Amino acid sequence: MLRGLYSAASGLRYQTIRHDVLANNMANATTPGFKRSAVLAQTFEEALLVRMSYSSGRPLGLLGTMPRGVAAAETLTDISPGPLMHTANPLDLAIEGPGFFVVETPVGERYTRDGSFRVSADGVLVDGRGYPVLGQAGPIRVDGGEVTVERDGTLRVDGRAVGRLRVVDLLDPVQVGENLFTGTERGEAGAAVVQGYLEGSNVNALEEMVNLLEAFRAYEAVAKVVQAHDEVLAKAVNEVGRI
Amino acid sequence: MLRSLWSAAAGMYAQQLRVDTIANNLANINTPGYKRVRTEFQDLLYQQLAGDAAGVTVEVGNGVRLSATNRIFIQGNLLETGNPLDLALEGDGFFVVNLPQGGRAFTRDGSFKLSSDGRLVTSEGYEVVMDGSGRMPEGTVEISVAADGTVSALVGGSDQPREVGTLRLATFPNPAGLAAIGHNLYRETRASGEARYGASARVVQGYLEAANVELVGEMVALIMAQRAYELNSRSVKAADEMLALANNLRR
Repeated sequence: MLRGLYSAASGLRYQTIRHDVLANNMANATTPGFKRSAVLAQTFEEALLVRMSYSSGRPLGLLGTMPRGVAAAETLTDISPGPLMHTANPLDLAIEGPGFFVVETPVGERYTRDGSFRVSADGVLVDGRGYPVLGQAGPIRVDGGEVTVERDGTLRVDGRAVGRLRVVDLLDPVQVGENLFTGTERGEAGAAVVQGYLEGSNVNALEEMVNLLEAFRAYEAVAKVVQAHDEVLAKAVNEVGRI
Repeated sequence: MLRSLWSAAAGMYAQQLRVDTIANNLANINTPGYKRVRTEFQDLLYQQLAGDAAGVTVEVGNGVRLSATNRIFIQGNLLETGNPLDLALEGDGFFVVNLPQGGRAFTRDGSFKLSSDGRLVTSEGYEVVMDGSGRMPEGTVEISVAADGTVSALVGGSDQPREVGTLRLATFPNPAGLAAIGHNLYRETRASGEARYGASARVVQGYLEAANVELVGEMVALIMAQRAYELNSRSVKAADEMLALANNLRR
């Protein structure tokens, strides 16, 4: 009896986490380079049910197994590409294909697909937060003049090559906020860099709404199960045991 | 539960700021020298709800925030006006203006006028900085401005124009870092870097630089902002209903 109540409660908790993740995806529906997350569920370990003898208290036989509820096992980052949006701004860069730009933050190298770059007051190519964007030979100086970026990531200022952007492939990228990712580098991605474009968020409103509906209805259904358990318990306590 | 409410609220707030910015861009579509502003968003920190040594984690984000408004200094179209005191800049650079309270400001709006003492001023009457005297002699009938910014005045009765000065032009390492102070003027900041004088821009007389706002682009952004706002409101509603269900578990 109570076992079912706790299973149902774990269901409520799981759907809540799912909704939290969906809300975050939806809030970032227009964040450049954002990658949506999804939650994977797992059932708790199954419990063995055994029939016990009333008189001796010894087990009489095996009844089978029963799952004990659900929990969020893992959040996965869906790294499928977002749409490329034309901005015409020469310092907006997008990656066509897999790969990440590398930026140097105070806590080490981080990776991003958000290529809305700019030039700092001292002439260095930086991201929206002011972290230097790394090229093959460290930060890139783009002092004055017209900036062009070739598909292989080579930056030219007034036709003069000033550096080549690092675009790396990541194993298990994890989002950490500020449009940044951490992960294990797997070498050069070999993807093309396109100038004057930004990669949009890969959140699809339709998909998120369907997931939201599903999570909401599942929550509703599990809430009903909790209520049913409550009613059964009420019967047991108030009616069956009436003296 | 409450986390999703806050994430959605953050999403709605961010989209609201975006609509504000788009509205300002659209309102300035006919402002000479206006440069459009773009809002930039970033996701917020992720919280780890569970995790193990193998790196399998349950992470939940906290929504979104407006990280910056970025002014896009792309060249605007040049509109012919025929007015000899309308100047447009082609290429990077700014006209330099003396503020009445002291200090310098910078502008791309070249709809200049003549002051009573024969100086080139902005619509607000702020003096445009020139190297040289910069004062049109009395009896000037024609003012001409060369591509390099040299201003000459032709005095009635003479057939040789007289050079009165050269418009001072400035560039910045990071123009997007300039602070807009209204009246189409910008002020130097630490983010923009120090002004460098002597820009490569061409001065075009009889033209004004139109705002670089693109109507279609702004309308598409407006649609996206509105729909994203709506999307987030759905998630607020769902969170609210889920809370109501939880509260009504015990009847």
